[in-house]
Amino acid sequence: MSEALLITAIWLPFIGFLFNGLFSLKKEPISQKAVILFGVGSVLLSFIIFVILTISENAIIMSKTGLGAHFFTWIDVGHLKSDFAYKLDGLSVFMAWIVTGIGMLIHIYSTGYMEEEKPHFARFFAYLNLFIFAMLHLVLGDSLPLLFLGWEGVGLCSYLLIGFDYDKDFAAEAGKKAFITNRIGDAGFLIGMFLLFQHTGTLNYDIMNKFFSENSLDTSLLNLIAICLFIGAMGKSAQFPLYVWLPDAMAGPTPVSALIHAATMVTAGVFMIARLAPVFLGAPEASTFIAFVGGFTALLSALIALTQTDIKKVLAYSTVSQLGYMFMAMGVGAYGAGLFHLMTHAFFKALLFLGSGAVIIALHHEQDMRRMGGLYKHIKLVAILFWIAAIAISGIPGLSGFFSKDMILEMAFTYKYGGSILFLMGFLTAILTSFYIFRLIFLTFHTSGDAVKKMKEAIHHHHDEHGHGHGHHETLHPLRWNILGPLVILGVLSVFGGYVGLPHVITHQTPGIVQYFDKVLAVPPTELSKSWHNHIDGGLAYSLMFGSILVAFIGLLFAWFRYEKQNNIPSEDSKKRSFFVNLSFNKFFVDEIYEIFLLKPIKKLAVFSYKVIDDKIIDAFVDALGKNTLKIGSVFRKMQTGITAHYAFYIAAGTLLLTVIIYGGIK
Amino acid sequence: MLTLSIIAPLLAVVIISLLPSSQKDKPNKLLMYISMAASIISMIASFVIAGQFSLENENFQLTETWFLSSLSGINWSFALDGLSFGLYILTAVLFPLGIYYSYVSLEIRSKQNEKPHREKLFWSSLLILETSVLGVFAAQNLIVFYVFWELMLVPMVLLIGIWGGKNRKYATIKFFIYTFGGSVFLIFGIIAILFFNTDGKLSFDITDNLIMSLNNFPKHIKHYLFWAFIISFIIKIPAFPVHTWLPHAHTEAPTVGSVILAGVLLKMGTYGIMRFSLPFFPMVSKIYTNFFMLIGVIGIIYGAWLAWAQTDVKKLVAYSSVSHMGYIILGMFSGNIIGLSGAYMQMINHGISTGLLFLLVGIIYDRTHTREIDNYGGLAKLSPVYAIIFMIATLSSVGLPGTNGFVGEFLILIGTFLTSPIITVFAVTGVIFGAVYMLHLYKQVFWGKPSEALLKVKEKISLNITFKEAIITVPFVIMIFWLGIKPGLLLDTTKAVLQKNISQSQNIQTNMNIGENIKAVDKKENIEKSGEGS
Repeated sequence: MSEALLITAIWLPFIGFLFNGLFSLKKEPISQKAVILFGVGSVLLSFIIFVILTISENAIIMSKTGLGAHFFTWIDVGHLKSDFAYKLDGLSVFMAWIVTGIGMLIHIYSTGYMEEEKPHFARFFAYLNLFIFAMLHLVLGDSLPLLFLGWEGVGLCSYLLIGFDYDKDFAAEAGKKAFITNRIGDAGFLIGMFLLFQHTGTLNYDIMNKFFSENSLDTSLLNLIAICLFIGAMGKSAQFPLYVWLPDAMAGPTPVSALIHAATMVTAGVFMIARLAPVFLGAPEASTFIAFVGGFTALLSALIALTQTDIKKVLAYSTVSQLGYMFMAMGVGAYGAGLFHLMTHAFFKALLFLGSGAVIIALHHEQDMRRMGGLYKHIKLVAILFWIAAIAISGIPGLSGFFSKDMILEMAFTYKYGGSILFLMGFLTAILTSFYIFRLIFLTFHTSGDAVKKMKEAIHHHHDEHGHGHGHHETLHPLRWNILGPLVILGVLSVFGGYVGLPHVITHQTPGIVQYFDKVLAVPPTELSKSWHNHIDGGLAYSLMFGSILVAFIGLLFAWFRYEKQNNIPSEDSKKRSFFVNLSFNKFFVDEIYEIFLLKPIKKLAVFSYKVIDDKIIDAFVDALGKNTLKIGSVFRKMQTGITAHYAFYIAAGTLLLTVIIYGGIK
Repeated sequence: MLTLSIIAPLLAVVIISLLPSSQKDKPNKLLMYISMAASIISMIASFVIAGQFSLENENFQLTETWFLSSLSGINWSFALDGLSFGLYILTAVLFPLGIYYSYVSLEIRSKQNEKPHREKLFWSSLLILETSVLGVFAAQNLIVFYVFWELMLVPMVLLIGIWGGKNRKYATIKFFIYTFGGSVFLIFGIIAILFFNTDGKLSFDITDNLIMSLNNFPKHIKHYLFWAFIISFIIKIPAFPVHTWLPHAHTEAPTVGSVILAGVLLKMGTYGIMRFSLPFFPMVSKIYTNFFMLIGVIGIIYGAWLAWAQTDVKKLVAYSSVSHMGYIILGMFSGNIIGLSGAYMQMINHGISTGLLFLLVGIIYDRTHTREIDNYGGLAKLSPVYAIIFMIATLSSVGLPGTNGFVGEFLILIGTFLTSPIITVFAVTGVIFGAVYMLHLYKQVFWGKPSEALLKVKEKISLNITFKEAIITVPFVIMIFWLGIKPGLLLDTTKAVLQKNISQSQNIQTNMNIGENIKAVDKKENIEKSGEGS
């Protein structure tokens, strides 16, 4: 019964996808109510089933193997076996709640956000449903191939949703870029998977865990496997150097940014590490590498976020940065902290994105913060929720982000292998985070600027230029309950979500969430990574905490001073920017570097291979061969006399010759 | 049933040739009906065969013998086993679709005042092609195999040469010289077997006896024979560096020609390797394993790069074939059941996905008459259903999990990894490049704003896919997902025979090794003895 329920929960969104997908093909768009019924209803139902299962099957789910459900056979060749079979255990139930819970909220939100996109309404929900379906496979599959199915499936949905407005060139380009960058990661992931298969003989988690509990692999081999798998995570979870697709992914509709590019899909890499804990915890050097990549990514993207002017771009780089924190945590072996931050980040970042979506929609699709300001007066509720999310992400005490980020910084600090550098990177990132997020708040909701006035001006300007307009936008677009409701719920979660992981210094025991993951993961991370850490006493822990609280306020104050007090709105003129601001604004030219040093040379090589190697060398050789054959052929043509006796002679002579040659060869 | 399925198209050719030829402006419906009927009979018969096919049987089954000749060693009999079954069914399914498409295409073209020409010959060529391909897969005698193998050349040359594009002449000659050149080696190889067969019985039947007696051949002869066979096969596949006929043939061939070429003709090469080269010469193929794996990997990467460099839609798809066939070569030489199953699956997959891609390119070409990628753009807006089907074909081609393409690629790569990890690491980059060129194509053709060229075409004729055309693509789409979710459907048919072939090859190899060891020991003893003597 519970197996059937689990399968139903996973496949429900697929029914939504089929329904909406098929009806999106109709010339006349079907009623939005029907789309919503299937699109939102399926995810809602799926969420409810997970809640029911969590309650009714709690004991089984919390056991090491969890609740298994076998649907049907997929691949079965030789000793390679992978089925559509699912595993609902402590880790995957945690993810399933986030995916379907936040997914459901964002589906509801989308009914408001996409309301006006009448011809594409059904298509949008079809993609979203397909995404939930794929994501559930990613987290609930009981083997790596099924995880990979979900992994690439969510990549596909991401591609389709980034390119949702496919007639816009930048959206089309961004979608392609996302898919290909992810594929680079996936290639690494595949190799990691092959290595695992070669050495453990299986790709099924349970069997693999059993293998690791009874055998151990060489550490250098595990390091290699871990690095290969992590390359996959670099792509999917946007870590340096493969993070470049995520900021461009903002071309997709805002609910997509919230769901896929902030709360769920991009955390898949973190989940994957937790899922394969026996591999990663057995690979200390690879783990150090992961931690440093995470730390570096966090710092780099926070630096870029400082100067961006597109509200969604700031949030995108912020996401990359926060993901960096998570990998830092996973790298130092603090799996509980990493997954904790995954959850709190899902809350507050989804809130930030949906909030920015509300702003964007209210302003009739304006995303540039330089044309905003003073919105607090007009949309108070959104502004307040934004403040909550900003406080949460900046690490001001009491809200969710504080607890998870503090835990990561503490674990980084005590890490034996370069912990001080890691801590420094994390600490700097914390200051920057606080600054850029409050900069966003001030520029959008406060300052002396008036977004509504600017909007009207822009419209008039538009009129002057083109002589026509798409109707007058004199007032803000109204926000209804389906937009505000999910925001409020996420606001509540952002406030209270952190209380599942109260720090040691307060409660004098291991944080609840850390205990939870030590219990449910295949191997207890805290215990296995104990030797990676120095002991930390209470006093030092306190001072670290106060340090990070302090920098959060410093960032806030600095942002307030610069944007609210001095009213220093970023200039659109690039000449007025200082060197460092320009560097940050242009994202350290990483995209350009890739373009010049990677993309162009490879493309040139491809064209060269075609025009020179294939055409001028290989083909020319063949053509020459062909011409000479024809010449020789014209000689032989004279032999074709049409007289049977001649042919008989040739055959006999040929056979004789052949015989002589071959038998001669033997001797 | 098997024979019926093979000769039904041939019978239709006889009927067609008896009909009076009439030249009209509109395509002749009667000819289409006859051709369709024949190919559908063929298909239904193949389904009946599928129902009787036993998965446990590792040998030829459902044998139908017509003519036994112990004198010449040429037994005319047809049979299927796990190696031919999947390809046989694919062929039988692909032809009716291709034939129906050709008619729909003629209709659409006649609406644009293009007259059909030499219709009788056209339909006859297609039908003869069907018979010859089916014959190749159902032959269980080397000579019979060769006869059909060569027979296939005639209709294909006609199809490209008469109904092809602008450069059809060049493409046809190239195609002919390449494949005929390959065939010469093949026939030499086959005849040579006769010469060296010392067990007294004259037989070209593909049996375990033949394999056993082949292994008693002198070593260097086995090397010669191995190369004679495989040269012919790798040209047909085609593998790097003998692939240059393919882009020309594909671009110039009429759509149905490309579909059949990609769908099943290329598979004759890989089928030949699986059927003959590997089981016949296990020792020699083992020696050259790395060489052919390298050829495979180069094909994967090189093909993908060249596909990326193309500006012509059809050429892009043609080069993607080179890349895909590279995977198959790789998997075949992995030597384990995972890789070999993957290779076999990929043969079918490529037939489906690339066949569909060529079909789709043809459908739009019928309207736009251009293959230049730059002339396209924004097609998703003008023809949404078509765009979705193309997307599905693209996903299958890039091997997205859930489609058939993934299972094949995954099995090949994982199987090869077990044998040679380093080569596989290079092969995996094909996963990236595959996405690069396909998504590049998709973006250029379907996304962005509608191009002016397309808008101009739209004024004359609707770019929307017609119902008839859509119906033709449906079986492809079904197969893509069905095999993607339930690959067992295909993999189970090859399990028994692949297992048998692998263990047979291993036995031969160990026996040979023991033999060589004994020889080596003997030699050593001799040397020692002679040492003592002096």
